[in-house]
Amino acid sequence: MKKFLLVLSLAAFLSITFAQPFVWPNAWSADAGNAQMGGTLRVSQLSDPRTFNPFVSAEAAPVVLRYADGMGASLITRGPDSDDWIPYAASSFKISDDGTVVDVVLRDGIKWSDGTPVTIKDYLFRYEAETDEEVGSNGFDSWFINDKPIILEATGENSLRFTFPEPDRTALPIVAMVPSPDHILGEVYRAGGAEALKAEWGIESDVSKTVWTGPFIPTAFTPGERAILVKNPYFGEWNKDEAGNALPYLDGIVENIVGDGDAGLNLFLAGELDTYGPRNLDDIGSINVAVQNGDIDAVVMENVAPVASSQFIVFNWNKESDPFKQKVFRSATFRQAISHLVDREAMIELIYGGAASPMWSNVYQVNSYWVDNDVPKFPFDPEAAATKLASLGFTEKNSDGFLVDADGNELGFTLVTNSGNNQREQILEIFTDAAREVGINVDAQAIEFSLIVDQLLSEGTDRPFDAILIGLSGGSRDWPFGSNVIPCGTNLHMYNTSGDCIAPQELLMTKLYYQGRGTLDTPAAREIGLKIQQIQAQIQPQIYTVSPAAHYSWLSNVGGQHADGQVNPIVGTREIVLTFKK
Amino acid sequence: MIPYIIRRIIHLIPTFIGATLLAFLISQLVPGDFFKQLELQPNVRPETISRMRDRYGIDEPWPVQYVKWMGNLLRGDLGDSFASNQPVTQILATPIKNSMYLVVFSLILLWLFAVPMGVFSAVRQYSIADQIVSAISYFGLAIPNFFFAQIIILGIFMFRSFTREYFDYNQLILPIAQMTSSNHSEMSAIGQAWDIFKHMLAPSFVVATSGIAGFTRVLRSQMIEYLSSDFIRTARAKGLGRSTVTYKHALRPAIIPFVAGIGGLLPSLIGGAGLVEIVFAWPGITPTYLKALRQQDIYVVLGLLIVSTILLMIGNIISDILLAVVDPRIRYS
Amino acid sequence: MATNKTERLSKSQRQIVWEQFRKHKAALIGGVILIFMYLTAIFAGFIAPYGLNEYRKFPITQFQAPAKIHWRNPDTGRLTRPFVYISKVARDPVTRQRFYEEDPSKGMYPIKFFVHREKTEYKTLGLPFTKSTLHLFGVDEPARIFLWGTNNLGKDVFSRVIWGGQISLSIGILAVWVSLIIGLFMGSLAGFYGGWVDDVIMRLVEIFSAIPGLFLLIVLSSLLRDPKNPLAQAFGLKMTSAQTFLMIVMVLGLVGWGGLARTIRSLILSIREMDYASAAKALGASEARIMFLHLLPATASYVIVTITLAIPGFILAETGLSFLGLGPSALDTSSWGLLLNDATARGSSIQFVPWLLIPGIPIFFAVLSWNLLGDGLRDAFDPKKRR
Repeated sequence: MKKFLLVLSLAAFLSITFAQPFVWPNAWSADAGNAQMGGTLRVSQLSDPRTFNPFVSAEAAPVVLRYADGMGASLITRGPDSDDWIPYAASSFKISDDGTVVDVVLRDGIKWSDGTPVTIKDYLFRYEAETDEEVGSNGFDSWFINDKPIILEATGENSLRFTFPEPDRTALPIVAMVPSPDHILGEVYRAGGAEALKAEWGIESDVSKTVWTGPFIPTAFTPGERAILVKNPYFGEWNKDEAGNALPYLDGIVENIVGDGDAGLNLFLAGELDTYGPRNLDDIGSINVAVQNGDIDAVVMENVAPVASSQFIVFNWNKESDPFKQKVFRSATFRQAISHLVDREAMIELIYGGAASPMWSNVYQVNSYWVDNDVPKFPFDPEAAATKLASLGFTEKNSDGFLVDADGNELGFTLVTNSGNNQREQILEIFTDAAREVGINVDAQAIEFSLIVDQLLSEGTDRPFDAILIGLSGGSRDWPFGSNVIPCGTNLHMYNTSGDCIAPQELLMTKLYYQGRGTLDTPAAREIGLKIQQIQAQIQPQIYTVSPAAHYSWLSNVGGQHADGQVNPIVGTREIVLTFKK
Repeated sequence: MIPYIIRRIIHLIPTFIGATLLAFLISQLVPGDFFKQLELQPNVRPETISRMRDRYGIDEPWPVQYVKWMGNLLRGDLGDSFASNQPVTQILATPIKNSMYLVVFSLILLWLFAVPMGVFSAVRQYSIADQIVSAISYFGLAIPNFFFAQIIILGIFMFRSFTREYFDYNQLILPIAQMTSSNHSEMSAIGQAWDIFKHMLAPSFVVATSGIAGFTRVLRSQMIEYLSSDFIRTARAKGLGRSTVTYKHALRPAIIPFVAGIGGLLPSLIGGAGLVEIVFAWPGITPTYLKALRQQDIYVVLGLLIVSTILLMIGNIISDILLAVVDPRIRYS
Repeated sequence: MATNKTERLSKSQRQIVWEQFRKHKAALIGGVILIFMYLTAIFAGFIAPYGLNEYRKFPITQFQAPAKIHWRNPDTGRLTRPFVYISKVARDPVTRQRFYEEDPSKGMYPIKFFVHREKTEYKTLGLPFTKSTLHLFGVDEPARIFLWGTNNLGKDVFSRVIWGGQISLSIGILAVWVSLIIGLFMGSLAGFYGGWVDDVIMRLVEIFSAIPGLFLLIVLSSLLRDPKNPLAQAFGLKMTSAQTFLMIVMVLGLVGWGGLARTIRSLILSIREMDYASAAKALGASEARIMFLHLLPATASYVIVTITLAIPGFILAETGLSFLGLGPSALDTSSWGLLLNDATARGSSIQFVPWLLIPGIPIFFAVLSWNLLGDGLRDAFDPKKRR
């Protein structure tokens, strides 16, 4: 009897030692040695979360849930210093040689914020609910590659297997999935189906009854004012720093909801916020002055890197009812001439005060590994533009001073952008002035965003717009080309939504896009990416303008930011788990 | 009195139907389409969007939609928000409450300033003091209140430099944004009330200034009219004291229209507080309305229009009742 | 004495009103300011040294502070023709703003009056025969004179304020006409015919006033700015900036007609019962004749006062709409509301460019003056207020 007991307790002991915590490397924080426990971080966001149910949100995950859900027990993760995936909630993971099977072993000792252990059931439930069309989760699409499903199944007590229908660079992030509480939401789902699941954890529900695996969990929420998050007591059991301290360092986070950016800046200048993302050099100036006056003590990081978004002019290739315009808009020479009329230097200086960089290819500058800096460029040069337009037959000007072709067709188009974005309206203005100067009759307008959406998403061979100045953000670090942008027939293939490729280069880019996505070897994929950029820069389906720089600022008593050189718009300024108050 | 009120309410029914119809028609015309915007988001499936379209009956002809919506409205259901998937009534409750705080407090401020100012300039008609009061009230009238709000914020920041220099006090004397402080939830009940009060001061001051001019000017001319009328002369002749005459005999009748106007002022001040709410990031009605409009969250827009309409109607009835109570000349049967 | 008295007695209503109005100093000042402002707006092209949307990319003139005008020759120390220097640009290490230093080495640029500037041709009131390049003042290129500084693209704030007056000062007057025409028509119909006409119209007024003005304004203007709005489609408009402007005028007028209609109705109701209206009726005058020849003129003094006091409200409403980005299009027009929005959109960084607040001053004075004028007119028309 006794011996038996002894063995049993030994086994228990062993399982404890096996429950290795995940150790957050000191390298992910610039001043790991100075970390202190405690304190509350006060941050701001522009609008309310709309739900606490991770399956319901029609838009991207609510910001509050980033800390509670998204930063929770994801199976794999990657740090600010590398693009390589490392096991996180998994104790190990293995990718098969052909890249279609990923085996994962779950780490022991992970718990929900109510103390219940996290098991593979929680991951399987998340998978089941997200792939249920009735639930309509926005995670649905990421479980498919070209309409073929990715399968998740249990392979043991605490091991899972992801099976991909084909190799895909962009699919690995699916392994970084987080669990959902099978013992709470799973029960609801099994009892009441999709509708019952969707009804759970709405914005009006008592947030303190929700459970999470993330470092901070919501405890109170006042619409229009703030959400309060506190440290998840069980997070520290499996997350330690190199000194062995339980993480996170902070006791909590207060998310102040400020309707507009100015109010956020004012709160920061008043010392009521700990971090703030300066929108432009003016914000930086205001903060600098406040620091110099001794109002606040803050760190300012100016002009860190270009933001991860693009701004471009796109012409409509589907104008059946106006063959003249359609012919012009489909001409690569015409679009190159337009690029010659985009005075990027003036835009950078006048609009962004120098804190911006010209954009020549469809990969964000900040993705420096993927960017092709040697693409064909058509910089500001009105004379070159005039020459190119002349080669298209626009040599004469009419009585209004606008270029006409031999048949007397006036060269002109309506260019719209969304109203309310001052900077974009100024890009429009600077471009329009230059274009009118060489004799293109540009009618520039700023209209409601929703109307632009209507125009962009219209489909077919006769669409209702000439040209739009718009931006895109998003995209992945692993294959920085939009799955719904590059291939013909996808919904943000804005210049041509007729469904068919029109230009041969379009077809080529579509092919290269899928080829690169299926290439798991990164340098090889990069080569394909460079080819795509070469083609797109040559035919200019989107005429890229400039991308502004990102700036950051925080009060000096906030520590734990990334080391210098590791701060950028993709990985941000800090790991919230390693953030501390001095 | 009660039959009169009932008659008043019955009278309002056609207006109410007309106003809801107008609001509904306008909301139908709002450009764009919420669900079209969803399509821009790569992670929302077309099936999800078409299911939502069905659920909200978006593609039915508008008269059908109106009748359905009106039916729900009578049951107290304003529909669901597209954007956040919850009942409009729930979404609107908090902003309306918050706006009310601001509006009621600015009304109090308005009366606190405007009544003495009006009386003062009526009694000292054409004096320099009268002209100064007029100048101040004209100032409030002529400056756009969102602009004034921003100047106040700048002023509060500048005052910090001043207090730091001379009193070594490096804090803002008044909060410049939001309705509560970050640590609001940790405060005692009294502390919370005080916290909201402090946040309310600057915005409600701005809202009040825009009303002071009109109020003071009308009160002044009313007072002047009464002060020069026969019954006041009689009262003076009887030997009544100057202040008794001014306050009892002239101010009372002069103020009647304002008492009556309170009902009407409530909803209109919500509109008036609007732009100020945006500048001070006050979680009230106007920011909610603008956000809903930008998102084409039609039922929220509609809900706000309807709630304001109902408030206005209630306000009008209150005005009539108040008028009947305070004005001895008016009798209802 | 006696002749004096008869003179007084024989004064026409107009003379009495004018006499009363003249005593109202504040109203007079308001009137003078307004005349000055409207003249400046009419002759904007001549007074503004630069074009409405003129700016120079390089050398940059963005956010240049109001020009320093020098009166003394630095070499001799004697008074001379006022002149400016060319500025060179630098960036402040703390505020991160550009600032401009005068560069005397490039020479003095005297301010010249009645200069021709080929780049900025303008027409007064849009009349083709007034095409001109003559400007009140200017300096030789490459120097530029910015009396009130420049904005974010380096446009001259002074010129933009002068040009913006055309929109801001006319928006109130046009909008008041829209609501006046609707209000007069509806109000007199209701007042004159009574019965079900009255019922329907008054119900309509109530419905319009039941929806808060700001909300109605916001939703209508966001609606009408849509190039595909029903009105634009009906009239085949492309929604150029001029058409957007007219749409906003329409919206402002539409939101404002109710009160006017209500008052006109009650005025007509009371006048209709007066002897002269009954007399006209007894003499067999037609209803239309009675209405247009007898009843409406009787409301004139009231109407004049009301529209004078309504105009400033419309001017303010335009600034509010511009603040929300729902005003006139910022791309090729200028209005005081838009200019003020240049300032308000900067939030706390306005401390670096305080001259952008200047457009608040004409708004303030225009609104103030219209109010003063309206108050003066009201007092002058009101027999009880005579002094």
